[in-house]
Amino acid sequence: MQNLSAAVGENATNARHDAALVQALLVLTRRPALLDPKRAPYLTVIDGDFGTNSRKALRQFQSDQVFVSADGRSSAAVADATAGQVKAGDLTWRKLVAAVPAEFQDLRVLQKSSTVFVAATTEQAAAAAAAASAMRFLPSFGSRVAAYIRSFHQRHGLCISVCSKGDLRSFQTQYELLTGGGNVTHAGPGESNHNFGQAVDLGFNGLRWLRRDGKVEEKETSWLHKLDPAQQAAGEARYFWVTLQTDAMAVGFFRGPDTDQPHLQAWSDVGIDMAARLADLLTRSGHMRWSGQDQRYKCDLGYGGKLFNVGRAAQIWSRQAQVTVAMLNEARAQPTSVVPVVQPGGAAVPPAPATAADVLAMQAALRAEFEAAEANWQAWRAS
Amino acid sequence: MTLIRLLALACLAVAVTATASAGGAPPPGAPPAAPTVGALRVQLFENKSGRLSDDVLSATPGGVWNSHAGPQAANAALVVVEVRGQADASYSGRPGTLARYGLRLVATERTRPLLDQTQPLPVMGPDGRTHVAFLLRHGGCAPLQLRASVVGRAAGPAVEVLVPFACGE
Repeated sequence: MQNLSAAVGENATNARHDAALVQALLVLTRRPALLDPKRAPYLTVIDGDFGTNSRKALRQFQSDQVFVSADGRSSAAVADATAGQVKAGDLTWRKLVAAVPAEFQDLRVLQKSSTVFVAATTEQAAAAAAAASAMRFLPSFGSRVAAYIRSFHQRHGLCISVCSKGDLRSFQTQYELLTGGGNVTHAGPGESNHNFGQAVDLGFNGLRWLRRDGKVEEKETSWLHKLDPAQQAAGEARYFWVTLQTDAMAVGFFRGPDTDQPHLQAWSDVGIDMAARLADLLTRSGHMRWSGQDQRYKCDLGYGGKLFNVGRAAQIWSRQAQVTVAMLNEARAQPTSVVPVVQPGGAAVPPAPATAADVLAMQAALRAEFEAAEANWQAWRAS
Repeated sequence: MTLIRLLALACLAVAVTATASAGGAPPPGAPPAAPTVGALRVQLFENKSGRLSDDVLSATPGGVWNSHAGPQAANAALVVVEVRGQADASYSGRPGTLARYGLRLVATERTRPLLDQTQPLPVMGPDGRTHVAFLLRHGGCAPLQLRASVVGRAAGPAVEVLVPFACGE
């Protein structure tokens, strides 16, 4: 059980998270049958505000179970307890913890939050870490993700896990995310850290948190749909996301877009042009020379020499690269392009004029370059 | 012999009562109860294969992420609402049938209404159940709130479910 950071009750600090934790214990604990045949709970609402009803409930609990002599009679003289207050580790606290049902013996609450949750077990965290290890990441990054899952549990009692589709993402899926509506991403195929196993989406799937009435939410999703139905990442959900991100950055992860709460990655996007990095990988993986800047790409089309504008990643991936007949003719006419064909008399044969079919073939060849880069995803580097 | 007949009659009475309860029949003399909404299921229409997914309300712990991309990309959802009523009953309101009822489904994506449609109830099956289907063209990135309710006299409460769609870069 998480301990209190400060006193709760009358004339006490009543920090929100402490207040919520004490309220949770009072909501989950029922009065003894001898004193209340209906065995009502001491309190009915958890809201983090230790007001009149909460104070009454605490007094009632103390009267029933703290200020009681060994023979069961009411007693004002009990050491290590303060009337109307509960402090970290004092008798009232110990009695509260002892009275709560076994399944709630390890309740936690994040700083400033009022959402009390049941701590996940070490086995659950180990399973989540093992699952992460088995997913498709760059091995070094996958190890860090698994370690983070374990350390996050040790620190907060929360079991985070990799969201569905939260590991390596194919270029095709990236293309569909970009073009399929929903305004999910601005990154084209090969322009996301997810395409190279160096990004992860982590969430809180299965988080067991207590609703205001003390009932446990058993079907929470990775993105906290139950706690945050409108998905605004505001209110109570925000405490979870901020904790996830703050702790992650402290151990060397980096955040993605502000609106993408579960996303963590191996590199800071600041100062990195993803197009330049993809162009680097394309050149090292395929048969052409590439450059990239601000999501636009240039390529020598395999002829050497000049780099030609061929468009954006989505265009190239969908075989719609901005290749023209004139561009192909210019590329072929370069002295560096090919070894010239020489006639028996010694004169060089000019290259045949390009055709529309050649344009289609080049667009397919550029797509093949992207496929080669995708197959070589582990060779991507940030600099 | 008389005792055996009595026992047989008693067994028959118990059997009839049990059958009536299972089918939702009201007590003798009481007006027929309104049909009620049972379970909902939501299956994604996977546009690349033309197949339907498993029920995403029960089969995908963790939520439904980036559902419009990937090999199982989906651009629509089939919402199937179970309705419970009297066994084999028709709620069309025509002569010889029970009072007319319909099933209304309201689908909202955040605050954006996607669908508000009411369909007549098909005839109940012998187990007192029938199903009504709605096809939704959804965005797939925002939580989808579904509210199913029986429309008609003295109809019961609506059933609401949240389909946990979300997207991320």
